[in-house]
Amino acid sequence: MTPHIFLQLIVNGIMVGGVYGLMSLGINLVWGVMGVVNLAHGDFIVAAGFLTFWLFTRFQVNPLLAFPAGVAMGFAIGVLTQKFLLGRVPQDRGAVKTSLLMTFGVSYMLINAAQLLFGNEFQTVMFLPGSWRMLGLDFAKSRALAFLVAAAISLLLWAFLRFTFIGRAIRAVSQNPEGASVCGIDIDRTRVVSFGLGSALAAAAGALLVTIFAISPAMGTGYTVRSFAVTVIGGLGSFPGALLGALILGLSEVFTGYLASAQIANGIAFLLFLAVLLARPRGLFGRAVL
Amino acid sequence: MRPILLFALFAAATAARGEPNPIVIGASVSLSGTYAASGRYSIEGTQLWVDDVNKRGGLLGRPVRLVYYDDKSDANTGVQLYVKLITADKVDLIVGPYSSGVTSAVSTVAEKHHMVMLGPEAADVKIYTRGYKYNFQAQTQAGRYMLGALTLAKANGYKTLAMLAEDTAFPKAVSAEVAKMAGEYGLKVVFDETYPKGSSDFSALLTKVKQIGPDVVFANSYLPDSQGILRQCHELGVDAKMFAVAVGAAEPQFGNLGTTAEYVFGATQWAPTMPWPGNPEFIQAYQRKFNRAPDYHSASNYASMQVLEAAVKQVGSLDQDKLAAAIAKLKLDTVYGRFEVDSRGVQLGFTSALLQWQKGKQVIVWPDKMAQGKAILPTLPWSQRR
Repeated sequence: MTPHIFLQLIVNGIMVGGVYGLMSLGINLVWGVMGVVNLAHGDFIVAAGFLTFWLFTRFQVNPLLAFPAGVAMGFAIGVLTQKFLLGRVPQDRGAVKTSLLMTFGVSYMLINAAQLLFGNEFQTVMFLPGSWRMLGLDFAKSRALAFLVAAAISLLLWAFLRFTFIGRAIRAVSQNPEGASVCGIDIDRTRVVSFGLGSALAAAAGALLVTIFAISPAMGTGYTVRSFAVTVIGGLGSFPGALLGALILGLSEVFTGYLASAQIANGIAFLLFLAVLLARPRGLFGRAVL
Repeated sequence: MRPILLFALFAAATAARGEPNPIVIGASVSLSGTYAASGRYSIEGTQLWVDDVNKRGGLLGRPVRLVYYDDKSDANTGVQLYVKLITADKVDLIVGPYSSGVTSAVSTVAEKHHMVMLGPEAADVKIYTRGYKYNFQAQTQAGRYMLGALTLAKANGYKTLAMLAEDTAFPKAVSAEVAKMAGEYGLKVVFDETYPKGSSDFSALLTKVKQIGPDVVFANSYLPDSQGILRQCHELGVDAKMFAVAVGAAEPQFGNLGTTAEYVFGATQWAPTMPWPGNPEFIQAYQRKFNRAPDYHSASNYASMQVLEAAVKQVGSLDQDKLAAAIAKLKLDTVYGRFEVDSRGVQLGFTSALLQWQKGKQVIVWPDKMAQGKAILPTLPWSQRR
C-alpha cells in the first residue's frame, strides 16, 4: 500500500464515519435517556431520506434546502411517537420490554408507509456527482458535504446538551432520573424532547445518506443495527465515544475492504461489537448499563 | 409482502356467472429489495400475457388467472412462497421468479412437486446442470450477457479487465463465464472480486481497481449496485476506457445517474428493434396497459408464458410430465427470440445485445444488425465532464 492510497483510505473512512456518527448520536441519546433501544431508528433515517428524494425528484428542491424539512419531520414523528405511544407505557417492571416492542411496531409502520408512498425500489438523489481533488486526494463531493454537515450538527448538539437548560435536563435524566425529578425537572417533557431530538438526528443522517447511497424502505433495520453497534463500541451516553466509535467503524470498513474483502468489511461492525463487549463491556467511553 | 387478493374476488365472480374453473398460474417475484425495479418489469410481462390469453379465449377453454407474491429478492422467502403456491393455493401451473439466485432455490421445490417451471429470469446455467426434469431455462445464458462488451473491447484493442460482482448466483456466473472467455478476446482479467448482497459502499474495492488502472471495468451486478459502482467510479476518479454493467443499464431508472450514466454499456437480451414476431404488438399493448415501455425482463416473462401456452395447447391438458416432455422438444419464435433448450434444459436460442447510454438515451450498439447507433469509445475521463 502506497502512502497515497493509505491517505485516500483514511479520507474515505473518515467521511463515512462522520455520517455513521450522526446516525448513532440519535440512538445513543434515546437509549441513554429512556433506557430503550429505538428499533425504529433506522426507519427514521430512511423516512427522511425518502422525503429528501421526493422533494428533489418531484419539485427539484436542493437537498440542502430539503434538509431542514427532513429534520423537522423527524422531530415531529419522534415527539408524536413519545407523546402518544411510548409515553403511555405504564412505568412498571415491564416498561422497557413494552417500549422496545412498541418501537418495533413503529418500525414496521414506517417501512410499510414508505413502501406505499414511494414503492419498494432503491432510490437515490444524484446531488453533486464527482469529487474535489486536493493534495492529490479525491474528496467525493456528496460525502465531504455530508461529513461537514454531520460534524456541524454534532458540534451543535454538544453545545446544546452542555449549555442549554433543556440540554442539561436531558443529561440529568439520562444519568439519574430520580435525582433529576427531585431537582424539579419535568421527566416526561424531557423524554419527549429527547425522543424528538433522537429522531431528528436520525432524520438528519438520512437526508445526508440519500445523497451518497441508494436507499430502499426495507433498509432501515440495517441502519438501526449499525447505529446500535457504533453506540456499543463507543459507549452509551458518551458523546465523544459515539463519534470515535463511528470513525473506528468507518475506517475499519474501508481498510478491511481494501486489504481483505468486501465480505469481511461488511461484517467488521459485528466483529468490533463482539470484541468491545468482551474486552470492555461499557464501550470505549461509556458508562456501564448492560 | 402483499398477497394478491384478487383470487377470492375473481373466484366468486366467475362462480356466479357459471364460467369454467379458471386455470391458476402461480409465481413469486421480487417486488421489494435489491431486485425490485427489474422484478416489477418481469411480473408486468406475465400480467400482459394473462390479459392477452384471456382475450383469445383462455387456455383449454378456461380463463387464466395469475397469483403472485413478493419474495423480497430473497431466496428463502421464494422457497416458502412456491411451497405455498403449490401445496396451499394449489395452483395449476407455475412460472419462475426473478433472478438466478431465487430461481436456483425454488427450482428444487418445483422439481420435488413435479411441477414444470420455466425460468424467465434465470441466466445461470448451473441451475440446469443438476439433472432436473421439470426446470427449463427461459433466459439468455449468463455467459452471453457480456459478449457485446467483450467484442467491442477486442475491437478497440483493450487489454486489461476488472470485474466486480455481487456474490449471488447470476453475477458470479457472469464473472466466471467472462473470465473463461476473456483470453479469446485478448483481455487479461486483472481484478475479479465479489461483494455481499446489499452493499452500498464500493469505495474500498474501487480504490483497488483505480490503483490497477484497467482498460475495461465490468460491474456484474443488478440495478442499484450498477448505479452505486458507476457513481463511486466517478467520485474516486476511476478512469477506465470502457464501463459495462450486466443488469441495470437496460432499465430507464439507470438514467437517474445523469451525466454519470453517459458512455456506460449495458447488456440487454431484448430490444424494441429486434425483429422477433409479435414484438411491435407486444410493445404497443404493454405501453397501453402499464403506461411505460417494456424492458427485456418484461419481454422474457411474456415469452415464457408464450412457451407455456404453446406447450399446454400441444398437450391438451395440464399434465406436468407431458408438459415437461413437450417443452423439452419445443422450438418456438417468441417476442424474445427463438425458444429452444438442450437436453438439460439450458437455453440455446435466446441471444444478447449491448446498449450504451448516449446523451441520456439508451442506444443499441451491438450486434450490428440490430444497432441503432455506433458505440462511443473511449469513455471520456470523469474530470473532463461538465
